Amino acid sequence: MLPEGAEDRLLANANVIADACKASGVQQWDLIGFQSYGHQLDIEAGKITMAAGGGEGGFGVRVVDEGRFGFAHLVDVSGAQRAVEQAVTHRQEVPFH
Amino acid sequence: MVMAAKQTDGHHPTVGRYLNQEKVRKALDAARSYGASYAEVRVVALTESTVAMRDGILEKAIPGQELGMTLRVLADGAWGVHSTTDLASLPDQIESTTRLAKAVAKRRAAGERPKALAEVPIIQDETHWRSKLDVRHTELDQKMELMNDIYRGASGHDDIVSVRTGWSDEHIHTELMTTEGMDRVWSFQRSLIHGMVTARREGEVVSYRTRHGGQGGLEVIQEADLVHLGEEAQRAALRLLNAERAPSGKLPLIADKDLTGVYIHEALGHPCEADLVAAGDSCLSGKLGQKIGNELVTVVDDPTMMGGYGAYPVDDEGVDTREKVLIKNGVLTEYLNHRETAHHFGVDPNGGARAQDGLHHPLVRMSNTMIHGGTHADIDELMEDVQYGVYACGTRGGQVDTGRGSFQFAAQEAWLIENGELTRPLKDVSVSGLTLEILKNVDGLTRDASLASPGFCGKGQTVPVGDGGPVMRISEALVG
Repeated sequence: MLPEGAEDRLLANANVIADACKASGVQQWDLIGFQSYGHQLDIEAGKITMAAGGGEGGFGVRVVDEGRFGFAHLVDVSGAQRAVEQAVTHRQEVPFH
Repeated sequence: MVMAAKQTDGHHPTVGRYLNQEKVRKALDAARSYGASYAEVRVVALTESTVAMRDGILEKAIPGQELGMTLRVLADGAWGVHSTTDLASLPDQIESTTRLAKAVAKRRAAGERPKALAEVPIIQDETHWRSKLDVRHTELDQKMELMNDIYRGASGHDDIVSVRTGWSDEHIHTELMTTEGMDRVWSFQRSLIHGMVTARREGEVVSYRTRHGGQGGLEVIQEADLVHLGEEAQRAALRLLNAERAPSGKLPLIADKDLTGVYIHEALGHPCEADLVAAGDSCLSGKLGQKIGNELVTVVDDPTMMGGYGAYPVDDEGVDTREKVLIKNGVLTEYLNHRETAHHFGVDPNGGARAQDGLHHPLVRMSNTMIHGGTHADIDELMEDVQYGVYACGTRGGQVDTGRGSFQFAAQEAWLIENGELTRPLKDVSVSGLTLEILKNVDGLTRDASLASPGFCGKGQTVPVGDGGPVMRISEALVG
């Protein structure tokens, strides 16, 4: 079962990054976000060696301008503006393919 | 309830505190009220960057930031763990994680001891190892220029068919709060540059890897002569094209600092990890205080060795780090411990708890592991007495069986030693043996011990490590 407010938090955080992409003025951008929840149980020789819950998550940002791609990834969206700036800067270094 | 206080300037996401101390204290108190004997919340924020180039052309440049939090609860002598990037969901997990620990405790196997932690000083502080040149301020252009120094040194020969170069840096910010009142914050940086040179001639393809890096910022990379590093890698790759198959059998072996470091890490360091000892999976079990090697041999593991790729200021259980002397003049003196194994063996924790990141729990791990220098002036003096043997350098990986105490490594390159001199280059050299036999066969070490190339250690989790030592002579090892 998802923790309370999980979907809302994911969407709200995605929107923070989307706003940073819009503000950057880049021609095209997309972002992917995910947050997983689950359980892990490790058993070795009949003994429980790990019982854990939780999950990974985060956001990937791709910007496209004049045929060049730039990427960044992040979890804490308070760094969204910096992440998008870096993706845009790095895009300028990537050669045409 | 929000656990993470977003105190950031938007440029460096790791400025300030991620944990709202008051709210985390309440959550930890709640864990106690549910029956936990101990609980901790650890958050790790990584600001990182990776770059890859091939033949001087950028292939990949990805800046990133990771944030993870692990709640660990000890109840009824068993652990429950919750790790997540969704920090805001954590308060909901306190009760369920405590219940999980209790459920594990009920299923404890007959004869299995309840888990407990050794006492440690309870500290509230901040420790920041500031880099001379903060690597977060390094622009991509500058990273590419440095990577191209390796490329320039390594390219420019008809037989060199590709030069791949890579960069990775990270700023690590950790916060730990516990039910005991521990409240520590620490941060530091690591930087790494590497190259892979591939050469081809008449259907023969060989490659040679070179690495430079350590704890610290841009200054770590700038201090290296990267063009020279590339030139050396080119020469090594070309030598491998002309190398002969290695002789096989029990031979005198001289290992360079890289291979010495990998040997001491894999063959000795892992069996010194107290969780493996406690699990009966170490050839060093029950041997504390016993002579296990030549008296020339002194081995330390030291996370306070500034600049080493395995350096860290505080371990992931909030314990201050210090040098651990694993072997002193051939006598096994200390295991690597975290709080749980220290309680098991009735000793003080020695700062050996490391987690891969905020989403993993701490394990007993090495840091910077090296053998101390000896009395020989240089490799020439070590070779003087060798009529027929092998000089092996670097490693292409290997394996170790900590329980049996056996190991096998493949060297990056090697030479034949004949009548005290290096004669012909060799390829596909592997070295194998039993740790306890080899430690007794060490019969010469140069004076100039230092950390060698940075590396990574896998034990279910991957952590950066440093290892090294002097040039080491082993009177007899199985070479093949």
